[in-house]
Parts: sequence; structure tokens; C-alpha cells
Amino acid sequence: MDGVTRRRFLQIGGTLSMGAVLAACIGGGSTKRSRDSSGGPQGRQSDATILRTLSSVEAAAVVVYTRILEARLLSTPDGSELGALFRSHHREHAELFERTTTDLGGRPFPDPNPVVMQQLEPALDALGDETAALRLAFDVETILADTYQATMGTYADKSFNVAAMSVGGAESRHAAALAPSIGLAPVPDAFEAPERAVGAGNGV
Amino acid sequence: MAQSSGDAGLQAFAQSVELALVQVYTEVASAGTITSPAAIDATTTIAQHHQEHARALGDAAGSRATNVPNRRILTRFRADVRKASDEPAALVALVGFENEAASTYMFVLGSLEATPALQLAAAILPVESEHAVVLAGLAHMAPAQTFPSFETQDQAFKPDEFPVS
Repeated sequence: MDGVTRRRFLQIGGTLSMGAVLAACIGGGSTKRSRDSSGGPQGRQSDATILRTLSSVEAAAVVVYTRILEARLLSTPDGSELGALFRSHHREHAELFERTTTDLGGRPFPDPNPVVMQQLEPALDALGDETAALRLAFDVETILADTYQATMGTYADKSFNVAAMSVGGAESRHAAALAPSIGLAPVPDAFEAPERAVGAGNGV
Repeated sequence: MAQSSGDAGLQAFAQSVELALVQVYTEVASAGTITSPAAIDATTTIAQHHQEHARALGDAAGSRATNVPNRRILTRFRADVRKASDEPAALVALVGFENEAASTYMFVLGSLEATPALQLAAAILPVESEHAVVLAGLAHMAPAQTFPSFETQDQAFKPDEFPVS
């Protein structure tokens, strides 16, 4: 989503819900005018808190991939290419949620989530080989995928459910790509369970 | 024609999509196009997942569930699979089906109301995405074709075009 595209959606009208804006940006969403479905000031504040959490966990993922890539721990060109691609996705996701937080009247959270970083720091400090790097990347992707899934039904603006899973699904793809390289099944179960989710507001 | 409105109607529709997937995986297995052990293992597991999805969605949809594959979608799937003369081509077709399934859940999520219904759809969507990654890896597809930065509704099956039988 580029800035021009986003501005075009925002120019559609002040009553257009932010969720519709977000859904339109990711494809398939309606750009039609609709009643304000944001749940009022309280709903927007609650949604902004969730989105701040989402941008913060995405920022944590960017840090992890940057450390892995800068340490040249991914030995194959394919591995490095995928790492760089996944990092670019996380940057894109973080920027989207930061901008949408602003649209909701909230203060964006561009920094890595401190609670998540505290959990990851030992693994980051011990990064010494490719297996450790891949394990850490897989852990981060799983935390992110679970975090998006755990937000289902918690948004005041229901269209954010779609937007969140548009990102959550992409994170699950990343995790599935990484799993076999550390000896894990890429699709272990028929249903995903958000066991490692970061709670809304945690660390932000 | 069953109505596909409301949470139960959407879940019945999603179940019909899952059952069409189960059926096409069964037919691909019978056709003998997939021969490598890794691909056989993957497609067998994936078919089982779709069966589990169909069961859960059927339970959630209750009396709205038809418990039969979506006829129009299955016809589309069969046409695609018929064109696949070898394993890589069959896998590429299956990747497409999984992406369409993930996209369909994106569409469904936009209309579901109740939190349990949203949670069920959100528990299935990422699994369809993961299936696509596994199959794309077996088919040696390029990352650009496998890892979108966002899941979209662009490839979704919709009930008005593919009504529950």
C-alpha cells in the first residue's frame, strides 16, 4: 500500500470507518461510505491500543531479522533472501498499524515491544549459528501469528478482524517456511491455537 | 439452494468449500499424479486437515450444514486438476486451491458476527496459508508467489457465485 493509495481512501470521506480503509488497502475491502463503525471514542481508543501492540511486535520482528541478517547467520542465498523478504513484510505491517493508530487518534508505537524484546534478548545474545537464528525467527513468527489470531472478536471496529488476519495469515506462512529447517512440522495441526499471543496493551 | 447469510450460513458455505477440497485431494490421490513420498505425505495430511475443518464448520453451522461438497467449486477444481499431467503441475494447482481457500476465509471474516465464529475462521485461515507454503515448496515455486505481505480477499470464493448445493 503506498501513501497515495492510502490518501485516496482517506479522502473518500470522514465517516468512512478506519477498518474499511485498512481492509481496502489490503485488497477486496469496500471503499463505499458507511456509517462510523469504530465504536465511538472508547472503541477507537481500545482499537488503538491493540494496533499499538501489533506495531510493537512487528518492530520486534524487524529487530530480530536485522540482527540475524547483519550477523550473516543464514548460510544460503535462498535463506538470506527469505530473511530479507520477511523483514520487509514486518516493516510494511508495522508502518500500516502505526499509520492506522494515528488515524484512530492514537499515538503510534514504532518501537520494538519491550516485553517481547526482554523475552528474546537471551536468544538474541546467544545467536551463534544458523540453527539458533532460524529457531529465533520461527519463534518470533509464531508469536506474531498467535497475537493476530488472539485479537479476533476484540475490536470495536469489526472490519479490523479482516485486516488483522490478513497479516496473521502472512506470518503463518513465514513460520511454515521456517519450521522444517529446525526439524518442526510446517503445519502441525488442523487448527491454529493462539498459545503464544502477546496480550493487547502488553508492553505498550 | 441454501441461504448463506448469517454466521451459520457462512459456516455452511465454508464447510462446502472444505468438502470440495477433501474431494479433489481424494481424486488427485487416486489419479496417481502425485508420486513422490514427500508430496504423498503432505497431500494426505492436508486432506485430513480439510476433513477436520469441514467437521468443525458443520458442527458450528448446525442445521444449516449440508455436508456435501460445493458443486461449482468442485467442478472448477476438477477442471484445473485435469490439466495437470505431472506432479509439479498437480502441486501448483493445489497451491492455487489453498490460496483460494485462505482468501475465502478472509472474505468470510468480513461478514461473521459472533466471536466464536470469528475465532474458528481465524483458526483455519492460517492453516490453509501454511498448506500453500508446503505445497509451493514441493513444487519449487518462487518466494514471490508464495509469500504475499498481506493475505487478501482477491481470490475468494463467494456464496453468490458458488452457492451451497
